[in-house]
Amino acid sequence: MLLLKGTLGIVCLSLLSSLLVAQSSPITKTAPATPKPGGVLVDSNPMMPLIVPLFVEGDRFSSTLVLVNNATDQTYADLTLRGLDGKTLATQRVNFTPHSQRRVDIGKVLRANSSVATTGSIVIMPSSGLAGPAIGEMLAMTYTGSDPNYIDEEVSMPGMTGSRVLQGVADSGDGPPVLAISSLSEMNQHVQVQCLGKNGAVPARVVSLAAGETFITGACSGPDHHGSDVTAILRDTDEHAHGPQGIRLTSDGMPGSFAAFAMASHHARSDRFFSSVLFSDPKSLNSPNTVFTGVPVGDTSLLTAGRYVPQLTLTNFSAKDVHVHTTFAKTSRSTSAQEVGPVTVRANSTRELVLRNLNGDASLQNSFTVHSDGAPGVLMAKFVSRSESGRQGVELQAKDEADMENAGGHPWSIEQNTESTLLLFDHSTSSQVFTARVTGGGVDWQKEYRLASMQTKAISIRDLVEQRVKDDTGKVLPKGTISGETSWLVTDMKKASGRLLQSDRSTGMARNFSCGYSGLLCGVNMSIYQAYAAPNYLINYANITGYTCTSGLPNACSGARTGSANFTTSWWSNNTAIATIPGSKISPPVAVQGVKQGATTINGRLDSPYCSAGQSGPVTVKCFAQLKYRAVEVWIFEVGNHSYWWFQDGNGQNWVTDAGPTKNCINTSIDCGFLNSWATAGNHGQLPDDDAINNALAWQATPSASLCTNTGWLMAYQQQWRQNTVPYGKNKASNSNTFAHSSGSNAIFTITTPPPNAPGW
Amino acid sequence: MQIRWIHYLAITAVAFFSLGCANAATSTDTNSDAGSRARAASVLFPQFDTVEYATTDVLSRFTSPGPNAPNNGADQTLPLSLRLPFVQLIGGLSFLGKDTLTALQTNYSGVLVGAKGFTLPEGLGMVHSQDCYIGLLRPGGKSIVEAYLNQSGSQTIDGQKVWTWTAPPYEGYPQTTTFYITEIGPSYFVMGNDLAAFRATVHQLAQGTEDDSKISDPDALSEKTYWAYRSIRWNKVTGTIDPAGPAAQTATVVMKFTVDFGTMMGQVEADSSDEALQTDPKHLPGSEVFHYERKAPGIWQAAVPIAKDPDATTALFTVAALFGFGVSL
Repeated sequence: MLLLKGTLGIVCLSLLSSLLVAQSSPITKTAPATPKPGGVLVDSNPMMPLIVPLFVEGDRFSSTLVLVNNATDQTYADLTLRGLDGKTLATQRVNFTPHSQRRVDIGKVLRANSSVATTGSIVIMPSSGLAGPAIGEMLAMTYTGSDPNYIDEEVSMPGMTGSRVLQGVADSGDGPPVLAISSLSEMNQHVQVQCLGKNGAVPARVVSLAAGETFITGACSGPDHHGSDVTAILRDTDEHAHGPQGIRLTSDGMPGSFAAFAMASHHARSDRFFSSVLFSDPKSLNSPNTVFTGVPVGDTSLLTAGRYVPQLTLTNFSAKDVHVHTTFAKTSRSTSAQEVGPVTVRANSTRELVLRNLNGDASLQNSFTVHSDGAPGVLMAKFVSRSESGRQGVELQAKDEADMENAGGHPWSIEQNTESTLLLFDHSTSSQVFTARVTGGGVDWQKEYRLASMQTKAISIRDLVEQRVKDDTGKVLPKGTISGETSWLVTDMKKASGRLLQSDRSTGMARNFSCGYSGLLCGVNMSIYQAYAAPNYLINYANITGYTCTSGLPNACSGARTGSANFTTSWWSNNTAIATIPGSKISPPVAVQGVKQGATTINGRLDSPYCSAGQSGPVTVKCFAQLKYRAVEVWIFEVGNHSYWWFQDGNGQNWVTDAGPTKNCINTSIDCGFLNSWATAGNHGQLPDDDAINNALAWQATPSASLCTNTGWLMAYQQQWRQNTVPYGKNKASNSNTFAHSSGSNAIFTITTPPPNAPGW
Repeated sequence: MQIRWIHYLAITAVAFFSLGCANAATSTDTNSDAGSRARAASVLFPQFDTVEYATTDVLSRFTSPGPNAPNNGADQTLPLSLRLPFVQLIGGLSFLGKDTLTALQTNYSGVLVGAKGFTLPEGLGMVHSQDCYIGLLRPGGKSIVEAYLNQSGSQTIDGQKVWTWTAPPYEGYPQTTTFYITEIGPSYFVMGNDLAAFRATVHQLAQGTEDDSKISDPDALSEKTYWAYRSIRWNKVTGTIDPAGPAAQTATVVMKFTVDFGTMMGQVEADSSDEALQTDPKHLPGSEVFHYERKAPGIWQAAVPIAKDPDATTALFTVAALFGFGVSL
């Protein structure tokens, strides 16, 4: 199903928490994002209701509503279960902690409210306190026939900015799909229903839809009896009408006044199973192209044994033929892409392609792109990959190639035999970096994966947990973790796609999570670790992290906050004569080097295609203290190191303080004379070889607001030194190293790396 | 009485380091090695204040091995202070060619050094001394001297062919150094930086005048691959080496230092018959650095780790200074 931005947005979950580098008490500054050309700010976006057009309970159907709070805030949603006539059957408030998921058993809710209804719709009203649509939902229906069968129904968010049209594609079934149309309007409306089959469009019919009503009918032929439930429709439909169908629904009501869902019925032995038909508003689509990520092709290790054959169903909803190019991208040891054959889909018709001759990667690293020459919304596609041996299959939602709401946010589980596989696909012409995020057991695991053009990457979450795979910061998911949430982020979401597959090889069941939140850049946090630098001293200055929002608009720069992530980063200094950025200017953490005494500003900015956000911080360059040393040599052979202090005082004056023996020894012993000290302005000591700029560095003080005071103590220690008093070489070999050590102690420096080969230290 | 004590110590020292090495050879020793070492030691002891010995294996451990050598991640090099007695040897030979030091380590089992005439550097630098080195050729080893002696530039001193060369000044010693080297028999080279000491050593070694009959302390055998010996006049009041100090304030102290590279521990020993020094170690040389323990009347020992941490570095430099190889820093 394609996501309907603004009119029928579908959001799942995210768990993007902050990306702070472990540092002690950084100062964090926050700034909101501002739109670039094409971007928009969303102010007090009125919260729209979300709707599940159809739930079914009983007669081997059961329904569970999975709700996920994508936001970093705690919130709630109010559920209203409506009967077919639109009357309220039950209500329930569901509370959420930040980034949490809740499961609501619809049957239990009905029974708790003494309702005997088995069919209806669900309206979900998120809290008005959210700044954007942050609640993601999916209705997980299960049909317990001879083999259990999942029917996944994504939740719709109708809005006023869309069109009056919804379109869906059903794969080839036995009999016409069972269609549910649910009203969100307080007015009666008429909905034109038209099926587009292999042989073209069948005559449209018009059904009336009362306010709040859910109308269930056969998609292509009726019967149109108000109040009929799914069982009745299945009983009355002509099961001999085969073939794929495109379904177009056109209302005479206001945009956003209805939602729809359909199920295609398939015979299997003496029973049946269903595939889902998701509807989307063609106005919401950004491109005419669609992407399918992680498709089973041939044998696959994650699903029931047997060869899986992809089936692509294409419907042309226009009056003009469209030409379609489908590319199969496979990644095994290397990535290859091949066109599986151009086809033409005639006007107002549906065409089915069974791709029998493809051999794919067994770990699902197979993806497809479907390009058409029609306008966005003209060609719609559905992909089902079904085992040759039976009824097991995987349905894949078509993703708009230019979809921005594509950052995942899915619940993963590895309970019992369930496997969760994160599938990522770079459908652009260049390599992309995916930041994959898996949370669970209290750990936020993040790792970057660089994918080549047309590469698909399958990441087994069970492997991450059980093989203790380290993320980019060395973290591992705790042993025994069995569930959590996963998401991903790519700087330009239009170039990449992903989904989560939950599968169980023992039962042959697979559940697909493809919907996503938008992962918009809506602001930055800049954490400043160290605001004081010193000349020639490199400090880890700050880290910048974008925070993400979901807004319901594709290019918004504000909304309900979902977490944080990295975006394109840039750093610069306002005055490079005072402080420079000698290393990377495009990585989130930045190092700053002082040049000369003064103060300036360091600026950081994050950019996404439509939004930018920045923050600035001060840096002061003042005073330094370095413990330097040099070798004393016999020719080229070192016989010991002589150490001294090189520092800058509060006036910006550089000094060298050191010590050495007096030259009035009359004895033949080394331990004669006195240890005297000197303070020499500049960068050389009293001995010409004491070249502070070029001699080795043993240790340096971390720049701070108080460092000038410390360097004052270095100077005071030298000035108060009692000349011609301390015997040289006595009392543990008192020499220059002893003086340097005691100078540092007097300045309250904790010297962690003393000079090597320095007796007397 | 004091004279008799000093005489006894000198004889003991010769026995300790020469016969001891001969009889208790290390795994790389041969009887021939041990014998030549004993003879060389007996030549140096009468002439020099300090005598030290190191195997060439030890002398090769002050620099990191080449990039092709196995690297277990640990710093296997030795503290530089142990090299100080041999820095004139290493420095002088390095002027003869970059391969000379490698040839020394390949062909010679060890080197003894005798040193005397210690003078302070000007400012920072190393104490200068008159040093004489005796290299002990391994059985089957190839002389590093022979090629020079056969060159036209060699000269004859006291009937011996001698090669001489000079080295420039260095920090604390603003004079050129002239080196002399010659070969004695099939087993030795003698190298020195002072002509008089060099001639005397060559003469003694060539004559074979050591007096083994005076060796009388076979219990003090040493198997060490690195050792040092020095007899000093120690001023108990000023805590300095004081050869000319008043008799009431000074005492003879024999300093010994040995290293066990298996345990990476050194041992300083201070022996004296002085009554005050027999009971109270605080007046012993280096007592502010070493933790002396009394082993026998007049015999004190202190352990010194062979390590590079600041405390060990100070202790090892103090050892070097007590044996005359101090450094002003």
